[in-house]
Amino acid sequence: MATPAVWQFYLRRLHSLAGIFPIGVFLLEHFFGNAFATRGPEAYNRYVEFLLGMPYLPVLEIGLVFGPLLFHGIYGLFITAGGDAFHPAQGLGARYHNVAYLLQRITGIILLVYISYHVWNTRVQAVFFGQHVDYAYMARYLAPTYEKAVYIVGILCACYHFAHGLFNFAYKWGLTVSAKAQQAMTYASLVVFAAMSAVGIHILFSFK
Amino acid sequence: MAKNTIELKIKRQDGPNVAARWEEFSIPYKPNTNIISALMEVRRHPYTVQGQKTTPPVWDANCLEEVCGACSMIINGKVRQACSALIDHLEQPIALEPMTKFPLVRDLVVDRRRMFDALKRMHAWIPIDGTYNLGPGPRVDPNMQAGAYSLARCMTCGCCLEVCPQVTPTSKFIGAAAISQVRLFNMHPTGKMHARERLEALMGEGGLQDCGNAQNCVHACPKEIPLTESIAAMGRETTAYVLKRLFGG
Repeated sequence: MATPAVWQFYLRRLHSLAGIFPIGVFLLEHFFGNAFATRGPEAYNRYVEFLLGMPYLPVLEIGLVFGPLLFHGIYGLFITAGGDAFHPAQGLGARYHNVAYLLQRITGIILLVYISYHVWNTRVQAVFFGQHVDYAYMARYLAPTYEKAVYIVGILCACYHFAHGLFNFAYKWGLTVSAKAQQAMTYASLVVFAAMSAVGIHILFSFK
Repeated sequence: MAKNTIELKIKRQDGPNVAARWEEFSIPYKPNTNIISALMEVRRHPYTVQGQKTTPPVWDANCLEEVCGACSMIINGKVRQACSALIDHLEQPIALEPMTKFPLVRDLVVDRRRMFDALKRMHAWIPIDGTYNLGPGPRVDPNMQAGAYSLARCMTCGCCLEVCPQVTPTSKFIGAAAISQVRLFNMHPTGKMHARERLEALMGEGGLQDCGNAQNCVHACPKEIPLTESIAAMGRETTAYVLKRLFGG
């Protein structure tokens, strides 16, 4: 990697932190907020209006969402390029964390494409092309089966990448040192993955 | 059926810039043979299964009791020490390959210099000599001794680097062994005096940050060193060090 040696440690820690805050926190907010779709069109539209009426919206959107996502995604590509993602198991058998290493990189790359697509259709259209994004628009947009399939893949990737990112964060920053703590964190991250995936897919199918 | 031969497949390469080839050998069976003694038998009579005369295969070995780390190689797809790999426990034909993460010297011999360079950069020792008598070191409590002993078993054999996806022939990652040694020397009461230097080195190029959390190292380690605990422990130490440097205290 071309970054000067002295920056690598801090960039890598910043990359790890950005995945939790603000990106992970935003993901939770994004799920929770969009879950108003389960309460019907009026509730969802009120939530959208609340978001659009937020003070300092462009600053929040660029500073806390778009900017960190771009940094996390692009630096993540450099990290992926620095290792051998398709590293064989080498007689150690199929072990979860070796597979997770590969999954974290594959889901990351899929997410770069998926999030670009998602933001193009639900935000760029509104900001630059005057498209009114509300419940009716989302329901129409998400109606085709292929669109649902794309979103299911996107949701699963986002949930896994975030959940395993929690494990990675705890490991990298030294929160979980003992093998027991790391094992517990592994299970906890899988529970987070399952729970968030269920919520995400439930929201997706709430747009009718 | 009792076998009366030992079948070996060795990946041969005459030098770093020549193509590799596989050669098969068949030697008389002897009980309790390990890979090293099998290789010695091949060397005595360097003829392939096809009856063709070849050069005697070359390998590294030293202690023959799995404490020096010199004879690490890939045996039936698994990286381990040849001295402690007993023929009777292996499926035949036994495939022998050199490790892939280090520059190849010849046949099964690789140059593990990157590991020793990493130890030097990490200041992985305790300076005890001065221009005057420094006196006896502080007493170490038995619990810490036990913890340190588990880390001190590292023999720089290279297994943890061989299975690490972040260690490639071109990457600069120092690997789990050197990270664990920083933990060992930083926990020692005398070694602690140079803890800062080691942490600075550990946060340098190819340092701790390059770990990708694949956790293969701990499963490949023949000495059962808690390498992933060491990596997380150093994650904690560097976190504390950086916070201290930023905010004081």
